[in-house]
Amino acid sequence: MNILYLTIPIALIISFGAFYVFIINYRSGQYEDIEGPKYRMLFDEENPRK
Amino acid sequence: MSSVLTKTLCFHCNSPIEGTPIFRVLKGEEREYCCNGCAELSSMLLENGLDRFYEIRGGQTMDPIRNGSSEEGSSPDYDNESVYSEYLEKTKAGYSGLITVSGIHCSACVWLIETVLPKTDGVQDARLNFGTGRLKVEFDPSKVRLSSILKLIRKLGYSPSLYSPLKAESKVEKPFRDLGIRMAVAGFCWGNIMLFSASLYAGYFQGMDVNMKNLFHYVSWMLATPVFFYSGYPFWKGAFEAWKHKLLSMDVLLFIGVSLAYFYSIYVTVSERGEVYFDSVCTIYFFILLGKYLEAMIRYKAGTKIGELLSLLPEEYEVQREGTWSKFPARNIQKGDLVKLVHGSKAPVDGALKSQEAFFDEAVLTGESEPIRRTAGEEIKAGSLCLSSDVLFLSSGTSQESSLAQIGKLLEESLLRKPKIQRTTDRMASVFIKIVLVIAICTFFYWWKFDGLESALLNTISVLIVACPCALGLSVPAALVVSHLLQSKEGVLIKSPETAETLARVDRIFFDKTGTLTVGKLELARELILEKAERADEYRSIAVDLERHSSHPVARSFTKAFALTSEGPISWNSLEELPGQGMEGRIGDSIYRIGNRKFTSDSLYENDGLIYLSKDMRLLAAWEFKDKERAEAQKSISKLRSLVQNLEILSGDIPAKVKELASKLSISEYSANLSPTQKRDRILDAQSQGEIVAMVGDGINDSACIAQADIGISMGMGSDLSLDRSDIILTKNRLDSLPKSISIARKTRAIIRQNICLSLVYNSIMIPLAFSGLMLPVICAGFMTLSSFTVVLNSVSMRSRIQL
Repeated sequence: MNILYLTIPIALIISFGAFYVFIINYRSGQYEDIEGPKYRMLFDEENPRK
Repeated sequence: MSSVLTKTLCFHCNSPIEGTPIFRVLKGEEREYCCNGCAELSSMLLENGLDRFYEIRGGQTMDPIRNGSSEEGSSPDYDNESVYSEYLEKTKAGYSGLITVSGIHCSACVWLIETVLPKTDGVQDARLNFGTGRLKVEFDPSKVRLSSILKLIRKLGYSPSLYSPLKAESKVEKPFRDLGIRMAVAGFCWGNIMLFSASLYAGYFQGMDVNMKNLFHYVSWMLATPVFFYSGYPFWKGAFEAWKHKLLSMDVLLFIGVSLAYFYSIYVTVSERGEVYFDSVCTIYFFILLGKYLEAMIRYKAGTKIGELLSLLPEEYEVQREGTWSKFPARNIQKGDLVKLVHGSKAPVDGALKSQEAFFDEAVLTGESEPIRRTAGEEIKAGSLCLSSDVLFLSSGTSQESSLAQIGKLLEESLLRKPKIQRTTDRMASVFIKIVLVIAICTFFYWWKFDGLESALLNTISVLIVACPCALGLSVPAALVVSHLLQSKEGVLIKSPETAETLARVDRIFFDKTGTLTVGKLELARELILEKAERADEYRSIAVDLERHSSHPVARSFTKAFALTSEGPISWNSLEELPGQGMEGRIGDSIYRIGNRKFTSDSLYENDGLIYLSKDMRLLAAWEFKDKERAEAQKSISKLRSLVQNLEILSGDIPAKVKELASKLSISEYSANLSPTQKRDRILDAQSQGEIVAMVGDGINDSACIAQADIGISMGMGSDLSLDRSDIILTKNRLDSLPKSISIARKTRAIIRQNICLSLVYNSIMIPLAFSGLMLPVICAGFMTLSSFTVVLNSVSMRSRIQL
């Protein structure tokens, strides 16, 4: 079970990293509109956005 | 005509067609529509090759467009500097702004707006947010004006309103997002810490390697620390606030409990003896923050909704200063300026009339429904609505000095003096806290006597930790969220969640008359044909044609009432308006007159409020215009009577009219001829009797009362000032929302009480365990989760337990 001394810190670092990414996304407003994209993919765009 | 047995569906909005359909041949096919609005829009779409709208819409039903959803009356002036600077942001290519679009029902709507707008010359980009219904537009002001973008959206059948990010961001959005991140941190750490806690629980029962146990303790400590310091910051603040005011609030108990749990666990970790409570720290804070977040979400949503309702656009006026005409925003008008008012604009400042005569609607100030005729030299109060066109008046001060601003100040005072009705949670909490503290002190002395100081401290701490009701944080918000959803479905917008509780306890409702119980518009009530009844149609068309040339406000209601029956214009030889009396028109050698009784018949009769039509002084017909009560008033009032003991009308109108309405709706208490101040005094009087009072109104003249009453309710079409000051807004602009709202509020209150009792019962079960020194973290965690779950379940069941 000594392997836990290594794996637990690694697991924590990975999960904190993922959480940090989530916070960055949240602050940048990516979760503002969670409905739109699923419909937008169905519109055939005549003038694709740059 | 088609049979009514199988209702055909409107090609555009897919709703069943009531009455006769409108046929249009478009693209070689005959299609049926329910109204002109749908037909117009549909033909526009098909002609511009936007047929895909119907593919995306599929079989969904939308609201009929009706006839050009743009309301009549004045559209505010959007294209001035002050609007641009307040609502829009400068970008490289021009401006970008946010527009709230209401009436979005499906993806087809989004597609339509996002496709049509960028096709307009000058609009670079349009992107609509599904969740909030906000449209982000970027445009080049040299090519396209803001007002034409708004007009286009209106033409597509939606109603746009400008959204000011500056105002909203600062007040609501930032704290809300902040809370969101605090909650996310607590949730993340809670999820992780439970892994280690579960292992520790297992270790407690099965035995565990000491080093491993220590590792898990340290890891838990690490995970609980950000929760305690960062997520717990609002509780630090709340506890210190309460401490300063010598109050025992729930925050204080939570803070004491959680802090003890945290620091005691650190002590355990360092000294390597006993069990840690780090997971309880995370659980309690996470669930309570979740509750607070839900509550903030309601507040935030209500806030944005109100932002949509208020059209607080900075208006500009034509002003003559030192001989030159220029445009100024209202706040820059000074004393001695000559201001020009157009039809439908509000006087920005107090002043004296310069034009010969003009009609004003002063309902907002006095509650008087009739238009008032003012002649040169008379005083015009700020906020009066101008009903004539091109009226000049001389400003007697700035807008800050105006009577309207004074009303505003009065309101602020009322709001400050508003009695705070304590929330049930706080009341129950303070009792609960006292009991817990007494038990904690008993625990301490009991164990001190029998087992020494250390175990006394230990057991006291565990009592305090256990008493910290985690479900309590969820019990109120969970119920409020469900209630908010139900309320908004009924067209009721409650600004701040705690209002719902007060609403449930209302004993007296005051109603304003004009615009609240009545429609607030003059409508045809009676028609009398006095001579040759078979020629009624002819009389009507003559009357309408005469009134069409009149500047009197009633003439507008008149032409509206007969808009459909009137024939083509009549060629008059001469037309003349006699101010305050009526119109006179000549054809050949007969003279037609329309107006009051004296003017039309030269008789000695008194004027009786009817409008007469005469030919050569012989009366032909008469019409009476009245402000009718709302169609749903009768039903709503009788429903309210079963819920609330006392209903009362407070009106500024003449006694006869108020009495008539009161007897119609069988409301026994009413008073008329009241000034806004007298209305407010009546409310104060009722409050001093210990009653909890609600006031329903719609105008600026009611806003003082709305602010003073414990619950201010305003109709959705009310004036900005009253919407801004009210606690509850009936967004559908219908009275029948009110009884439903009260029933929901009562149920909510009952459910909140049950929730609080449930959560306190759970915690009370654990207190004896803690007292006897048997408290284990594993039991603690189990009970917390279970109690939160119960509370949420109880709240969600509200929907099925209420009959509307």
